[in-house]
Amino acid sequence: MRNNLVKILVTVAIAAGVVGFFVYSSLAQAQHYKMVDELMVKPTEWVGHEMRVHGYVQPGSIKEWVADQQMVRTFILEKGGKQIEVSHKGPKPDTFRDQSEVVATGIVVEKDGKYLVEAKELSAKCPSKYQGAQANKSMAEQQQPNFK
Amino acid sequence: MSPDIASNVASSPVAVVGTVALLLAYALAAWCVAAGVAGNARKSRRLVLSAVWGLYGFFALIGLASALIIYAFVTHDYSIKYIASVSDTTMSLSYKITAFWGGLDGSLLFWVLMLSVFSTIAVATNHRRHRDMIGYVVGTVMVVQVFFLSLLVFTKNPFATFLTQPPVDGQGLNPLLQNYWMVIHPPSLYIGYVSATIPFAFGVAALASGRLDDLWLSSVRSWMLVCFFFLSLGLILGGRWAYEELGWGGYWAWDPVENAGLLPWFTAVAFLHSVVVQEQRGMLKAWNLLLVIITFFLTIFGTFMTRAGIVQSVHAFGEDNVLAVQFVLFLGVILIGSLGLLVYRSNKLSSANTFESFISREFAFLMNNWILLACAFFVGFVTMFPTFTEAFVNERAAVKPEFFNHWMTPLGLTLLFLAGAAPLLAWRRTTRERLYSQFLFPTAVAVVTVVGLAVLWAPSRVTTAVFVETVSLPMPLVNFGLVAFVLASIGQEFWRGVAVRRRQTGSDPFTSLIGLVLNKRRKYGGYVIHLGIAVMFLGFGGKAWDTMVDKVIPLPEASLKEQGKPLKDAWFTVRDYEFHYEDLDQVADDHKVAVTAKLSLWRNGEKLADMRPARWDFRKGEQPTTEIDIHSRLDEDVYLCLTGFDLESRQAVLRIYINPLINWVWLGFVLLALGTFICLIPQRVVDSVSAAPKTRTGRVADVAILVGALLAMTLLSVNVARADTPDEGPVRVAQAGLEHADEGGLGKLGHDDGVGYAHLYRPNSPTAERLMKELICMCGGCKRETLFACKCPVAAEKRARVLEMLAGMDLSTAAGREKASTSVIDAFVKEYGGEDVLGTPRSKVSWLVPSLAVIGGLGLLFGVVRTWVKRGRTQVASAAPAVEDDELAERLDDELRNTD
Repeated sequence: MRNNLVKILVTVAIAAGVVGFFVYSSLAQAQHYKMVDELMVKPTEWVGHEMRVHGYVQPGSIKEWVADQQMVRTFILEKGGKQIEVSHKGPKPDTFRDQSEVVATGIVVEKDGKYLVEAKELSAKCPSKYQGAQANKSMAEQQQPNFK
Repeated sequence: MSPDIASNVASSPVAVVGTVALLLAYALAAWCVAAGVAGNARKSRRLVLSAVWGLYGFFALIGLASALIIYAFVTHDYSIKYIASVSDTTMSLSYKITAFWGGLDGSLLFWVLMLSVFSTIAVATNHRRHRDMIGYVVGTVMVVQVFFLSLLVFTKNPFATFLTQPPVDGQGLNPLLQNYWMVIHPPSLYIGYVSATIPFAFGVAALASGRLDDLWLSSVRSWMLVCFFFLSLGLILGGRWAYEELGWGGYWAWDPVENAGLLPWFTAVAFLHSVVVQEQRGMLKAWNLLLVIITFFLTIFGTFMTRAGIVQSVHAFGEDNVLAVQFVLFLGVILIGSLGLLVYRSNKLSSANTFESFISREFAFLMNNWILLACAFFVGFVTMFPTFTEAFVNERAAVKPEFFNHWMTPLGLTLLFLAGAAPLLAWRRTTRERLYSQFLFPTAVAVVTVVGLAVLWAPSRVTTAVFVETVSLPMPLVNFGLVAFVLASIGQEFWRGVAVRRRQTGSDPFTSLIGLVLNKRRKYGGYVIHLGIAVMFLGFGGKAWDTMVDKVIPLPEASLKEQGKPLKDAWFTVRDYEFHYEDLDQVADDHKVAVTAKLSLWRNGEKLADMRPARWDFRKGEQPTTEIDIHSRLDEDVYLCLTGFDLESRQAVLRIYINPLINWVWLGFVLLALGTFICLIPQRVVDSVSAAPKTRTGRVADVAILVGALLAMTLLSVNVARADTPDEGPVRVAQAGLEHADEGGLGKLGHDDGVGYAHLYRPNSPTAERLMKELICMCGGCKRETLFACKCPVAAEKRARVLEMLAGMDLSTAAGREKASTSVIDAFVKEYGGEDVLGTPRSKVSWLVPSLAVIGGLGLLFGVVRTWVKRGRTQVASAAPAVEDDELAERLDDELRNTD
């Protein structure tokens, strides 16, 4: 009986230790995830942090050009009336265009009073198979379903 | 009131019948739960029978509903909302049928259908053997069905119709999803998920009825193997799909939806191993029940994760709070119910034996259980991390995908070590002599590999982070060392097993091998699966030194020629490959505008392949798709992605990946599949090919089947070898009807139509005709049609060339014709840089190999049959038992016990 108790306690202790260790290591690696409007409430708080910023691409704001052996682009992400500029290098996701829903992963920097996300990774929403082609149109267009 | 509620059925008779079928099924399922549970508890045969027949009836109703949905798709019944949302009239038939699981509602019905099929099979095959708990099995399965049907009937009726005017055409399935991956990857994962329900049902039934001996395990093992196989298949297909289609150069991103499929995989693997301990030593009984419960829980949880929008992901399908609540309630019921039963019966789950030593096989299996559980917990926790932080701290945090690898790499390598070490250990306690004799060879191989690689090959010394960012170890070395260890360990097991069996039966090595594997299918099939896993780890290891380069090439060779600039500017180098940028092409058709960069790949002055990375812009306003091109080799892949271009200047921006060893991942999976099939061979098949003396007709039939199988395999491999050329143009979505650039009506025209391309430049002589039937059109279509048959403009052009070349030649004599054919073929081979342009290979070797295989196979067969016949005769002759040599018998027993 005592032997059993010892075994159980040791197992629980080891399991707790492992879990604790890895919770600690994952917290150390966490990135903050913010919507654009949440981020812009107090942007100075996030300068220099690695973030994931979630928003919609402002129509007409995408500028792309070739520099230094790769494609480079800047665009504006907006949500809830707030905006932030994003710069990114490399290939863009296929679903990336005006009004697409994008998560930009990178560092928030401040340049001449304006805030900018230097994104090292962009992800745009996958075509949702559960909503057919409709989901790939923007939020605005979705209000008027177009029956052919 | 939700507009999808089942009461809303308007004009479509299909919708009416379908909804009624679902409602009836719902009621029937509820009855089955009651009858099954009550009947089993009260030992009422009639009630249990009623439940079993109810289950069969349920299958009929759901089969009807599914047939109706497919019928509605095929007949474009757009008055049904679901049909209108995921299909349209221009979709091909196969996609219309597979659109069944293309949307949420249909996928839920698909789940119910699959579960109903599996439960019907499981109950039909088991209800005599498990008379005393089949009622509980039916009851448990039906509880799950009631849940899913309640979703379908109350909120997600796939037969819901429009209240207003139905649309004229559907919205269609996104072209990114119209490919054969969409046809096979979701069903495979669904089958994997659903098949985990059957073991769960038997486990719960065993707990409820108190029949906790090993009987429930034996019914459930094969189901868990099926679950394991389909989950593995679904996961690999998803990875391959991502690799070929999505253009980011990798195959696994630790995305929440990917992880949802991985979680039950871990626990299913743990279960498959843990049952061995219960069977051999009567231990880990509670573990097995717990694992079966957790696996089922994780399949429902995974479904919940991907559908209810609780996790943010690029795969995420949007929030659905109602669905989320329904799932959470169900998960809670399952967990409390099954764990409660487990605690209730805990007194019947004590071990027959105890652990005697740390260096024992039982302990290795226990470690295996813990580590797999830890992997599942880890992946689950980190995936749900953002949701937890948002709920508790109101602050959404995410974790980098690389973090997964920091933990999964060491955990995975530990599992790999166990896969190699456990077969070498003995049950109960491994003596020092045995430890030495078993571990010597594999450890030596591992050490030689590690030292050899470390000294001779610098890339293997790359270090990566382990557990925390600050600790960095040369993981590739560890990886390859362990792969070598496992390969050597399994090789040793086969070797020794064959040796023992040869001594036992006195037959040749080949027969012994077959006999060994067939006699102990689970063990040796399992070894083959471990071989597959080791090979996959070999493939995983290559990631440590992959290369990614971005490149802008201002002008292709075509433009450089026009502008009189040096042609060397069209070349660039990545590692030891040279790329030659030839041209930028734009082709338009009814569906899309395709911009293709034409490049060729060279190494050491030798052309390896043509590569055609492209970007397709669809006219229908969907997003453009990147069509990558891959040149696959055994040692690495060269992967090209066209990330940008300028049509005026013909500048191309490319991203080039070199992925070392990646093809071993796919090859390893093939071994895994083979191993699973070996495990699943039924006893009846084994009995029928055993050497029991049989009638002459029986033996003739055996030989005939074997010869037939060998011939079929050889023919298949020849066909595959012919069609499988190193490069066929862009790796592309197998979009129905969109293979050729001219598709849009012209491609369907035949040779006699006045328009299109098929009628141009038809052969004007038998020589021309023969040549055109021999040469393959290299326009890039998947079908590899001959110039004679292909209807695209490229083929017409090539046919013109053939005619042009033949025009000046003498075709009046046989010798002249021969010479003309040879020169035309040579010219084409030279132009394409290889023999892919030919329908049949010229070299004798290509024909030699299959012929040798057939002759060799027949020779082997002859040897095997001769041995069987001889043994059959001696068995009959020595019908009287020989006097046993006790000492020899005991030694044999000893050896056999140790090899088990």
